[in-house]
Amino acid sequence: MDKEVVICRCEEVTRAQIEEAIERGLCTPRDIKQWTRAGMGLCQGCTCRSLICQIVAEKLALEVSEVSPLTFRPPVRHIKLKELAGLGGNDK
Amino acid sequence: MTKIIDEAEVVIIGGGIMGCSTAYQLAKAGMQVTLVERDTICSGATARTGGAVRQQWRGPNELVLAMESVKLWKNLDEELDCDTEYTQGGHFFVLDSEQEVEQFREIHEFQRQHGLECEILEPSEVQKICPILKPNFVAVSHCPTDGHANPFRTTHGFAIAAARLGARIMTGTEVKSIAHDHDEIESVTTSRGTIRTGKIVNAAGPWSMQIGHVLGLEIPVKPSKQQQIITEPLPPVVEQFVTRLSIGLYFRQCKSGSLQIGLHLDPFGLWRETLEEGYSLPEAEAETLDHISTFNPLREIPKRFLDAVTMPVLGECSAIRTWPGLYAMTPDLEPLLGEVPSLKGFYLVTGFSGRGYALGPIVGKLMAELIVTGKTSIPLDKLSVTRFDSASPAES
Amino acid sequence: MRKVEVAVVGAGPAGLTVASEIANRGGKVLILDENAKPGGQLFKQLHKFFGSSRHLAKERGFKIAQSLVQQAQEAGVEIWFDAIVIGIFEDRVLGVVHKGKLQKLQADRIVLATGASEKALAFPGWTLPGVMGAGAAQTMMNIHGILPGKRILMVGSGNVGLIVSYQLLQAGAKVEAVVEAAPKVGGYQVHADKIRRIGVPIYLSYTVKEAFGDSRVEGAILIQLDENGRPIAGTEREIAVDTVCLAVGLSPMAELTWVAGCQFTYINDLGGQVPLHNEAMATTVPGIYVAGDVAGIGEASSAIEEGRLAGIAIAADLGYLPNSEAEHLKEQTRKELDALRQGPVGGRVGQAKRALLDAHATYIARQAGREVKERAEATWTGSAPEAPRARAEVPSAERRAQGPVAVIECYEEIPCDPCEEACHQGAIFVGEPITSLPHLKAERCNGCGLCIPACPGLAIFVIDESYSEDEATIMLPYEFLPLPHKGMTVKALDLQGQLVGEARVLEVRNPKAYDCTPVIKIAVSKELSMTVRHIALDEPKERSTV
Repeated sequence: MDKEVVICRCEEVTRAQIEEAIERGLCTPRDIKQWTRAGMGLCQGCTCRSLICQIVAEKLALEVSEVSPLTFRPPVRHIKLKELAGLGGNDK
Repeated sequence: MTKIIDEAEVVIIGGGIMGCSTAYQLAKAGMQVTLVERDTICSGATARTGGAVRQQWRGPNELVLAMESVKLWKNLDEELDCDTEYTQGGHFFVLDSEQEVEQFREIHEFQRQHGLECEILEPSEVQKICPILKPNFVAVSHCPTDGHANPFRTTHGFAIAAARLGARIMTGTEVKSIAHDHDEIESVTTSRGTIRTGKIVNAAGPWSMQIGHVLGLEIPVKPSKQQQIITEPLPPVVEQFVTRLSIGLYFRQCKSGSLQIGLHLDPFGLWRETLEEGYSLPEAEAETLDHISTFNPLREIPKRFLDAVTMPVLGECSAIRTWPGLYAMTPDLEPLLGEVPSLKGFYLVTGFSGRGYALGPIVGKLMAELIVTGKTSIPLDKLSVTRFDSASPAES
Repeated sequence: MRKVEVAVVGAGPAGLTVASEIANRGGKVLILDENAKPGGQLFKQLHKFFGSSRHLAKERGFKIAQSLVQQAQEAGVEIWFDAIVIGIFEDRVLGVVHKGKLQKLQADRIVLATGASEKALAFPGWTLPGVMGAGAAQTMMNIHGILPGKRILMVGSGNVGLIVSYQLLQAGAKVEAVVEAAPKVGGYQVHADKIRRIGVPIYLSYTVKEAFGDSRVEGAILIQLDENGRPIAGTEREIAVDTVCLAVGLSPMAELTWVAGCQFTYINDLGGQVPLHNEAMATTVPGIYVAGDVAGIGEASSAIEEGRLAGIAIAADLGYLPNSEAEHLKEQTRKELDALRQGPVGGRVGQAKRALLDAHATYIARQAGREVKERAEATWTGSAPEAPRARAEVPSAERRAQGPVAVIECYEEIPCDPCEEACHQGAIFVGEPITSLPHLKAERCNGCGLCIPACPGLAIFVIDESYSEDEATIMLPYEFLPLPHKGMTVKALDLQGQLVGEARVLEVRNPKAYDCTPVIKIAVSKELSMTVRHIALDEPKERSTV
């Protein structure tokens, strides 16, 4: 796969950047996320998380099942601060 | 007896900012050091810190440390060949009563004696340099040389630099037991095997007490659960790190543009209970404190934040993630640094009670000095564990 | 804080079924769905579904959704729409953003029926406007009435890829090609046949190398793969398209399950990371259940059955159903699930689900400190995924010469039997297991053609070689607009979509009972009776050869 392909679209992290992180010793998706920001954007990795796992598996000759995926945290969808604060309110 | 997999002059337990900074400095000093981390580098307390690099509002034992640390922070990117995103945009303490303002004027006096310049600003002055703050406060205590950085980049930066200098970094490696003979350390047994060593650094943060228990020592560090929210990236809206003690709120804008917003939830309450009732936190609970975010902060954090800033634009901004984090609290809220007298070669680098990140660079340097030469260029005796008289072997 | 007895997240087939099962027995259920309308993925499915009458087979997906919603409403289930569950917290507390405000709900039981999300494929140009998931294209087209593009490249030949290609054609787009990295088609053969006979080429052992264009997709480059799945240099071919649809698989949409603290395992055939659950669909967190695609990618029918299973288990747990009855009903439902999980597609899912149950049992045993013995490979009686393709019987030339007779071109073990029910003459037999190939009792068949619109795979044709000396008639399903009219001359296409001759339209049948599957009767030269399987009103489009 071409190295300049964007893997994390939200943060525009390329395959080359991810491979470079792995070469530095950052070997898990979480390490890679912390270093490159892949998976930290608005969609919280919903598209790129499996791609990152595949790249790690490929580079380290592992099965994808052996790569611990990125975690999820609330809110599982992005929500406006005012809605969380209970200040929004449009009872129809 | 498990397989001997390694031999090191120093074994560091914990891959957060303190462990990695210490590993780097020791490796730089030419020592053979192995760092063991049970998860990944920067996966514990450091991963959840607000990232403040603050000198203002520290006790007398810490102020000098913080100021020395800032000197190191300014050159850290170059030294580690890494972008730590350190920026010196200033730190605001937003004050809500005349009483608070008085307290801070006294603190400023003390800080001035050590060469740290701070100022008290009126709301109108604050408006000019930080327009997003709603002028519903009394005054702001501002320290222009304070700032913040990226905890992930910094910690990994230290680890990578340490490895480059010959340190061995072992992740996914949990400490199981520590063998010692006549108060001298012999080895550390981990989930991957045994490492022969004579010196151990306990940099396990909120889990320092558990490491102590492995040795039968009572190390007075308890985890206190806090929570933060991060938003989607925004154009630059605030340069300063802002703390508002009366409502327990703090926030900053990361280099990425996201706002990182957190709550200080009564951390001291935890120890008050302990000191009164002799309560000891069961180990299992310490493990799970990190696990699941609780609901209420998800509402409280945005509420308090929006109360403190001008609306409506910031209300339209989305929160994308929230996480719990842990402070490593000591009974007097001051760190534990130095060798444990009852066990030669066992060093503590912990108990930073929610203020450790900023001190990472200097603490690593001083610990390396202590371990290599037996002395430190800044006295640490006031922060020794002996002040609690509790780091003694339990009755067997 | 509002308290609810049972909170169900997701108003798709699994969620609606679990809610009805509990509510019909007296339980109070609240369904929360982030969409504006219920039905989950069914809501945008226009095609007729496989399955048995129990699963409302031969109904179009969105109608199945309507039935399930009605059932739930009649059972007294409360449903909130535009209700986003943002997290599951301690003590089964749910955070829900509804009507612009964050609310706190506390539930006695939670069912996570959150479905699946589309996998991605990264290649140079994949971030250009015009590259999208096949599911996204389907939503755009079927819900919002917007055609995603005019010239489509479909990447992936699983059922999603094949079905969405068909629907894109119905909507008026041209599907230039389907590429499939594996050496065989991923979905059911009948779905592949539906688009092949229209002239859509399916290139096996091919993938997309690159999409290119200035500010949006203008074309793509395809490349062949060797037996190890590696691109073969020099086999690149350019194709002019404005849209690239990715149908490269689904994975469970398991964020909430994760956030709630459930344990997971990785099983490729179920879509990747799946939550552990037991035979009653209970996860490793007490009081939290899963059902449907989130518990492993499957079909709507198995989602319904898993919903039933979870519903029975919860109803019993809450005291609305005696345990003995619950056990019996669960056993019945499990048998249904086993029957569905047979054949080339279902069989793999069945095996994978058994592995999931094993992983769950292992986890529970370890937590209890029990020793875990190496388990022998679970035996199963489903047909092997690599079973050789059985050709359905074709009525003999002798029988064909006698009069009209059905030719059922369904030769995969799909859990499906509407053809059996549709035949008033009792000429079609599927029986048990439901995956059996349909058997035609040719002597009973009178050629009425009722089976044609009933077949969700559109795989049945009625041939009459007794029509005249040189001609035969063929009745075939035709779900496209504009419909031809009686007397028209049209192009006759074979199974590969190649032009083989001309045909005269004799009849166009489109009664309401056919549920939008018009049946066209055409006259063709007799020697083409077993070859012609589709018609084109225009010149069939030039097919690019690769």
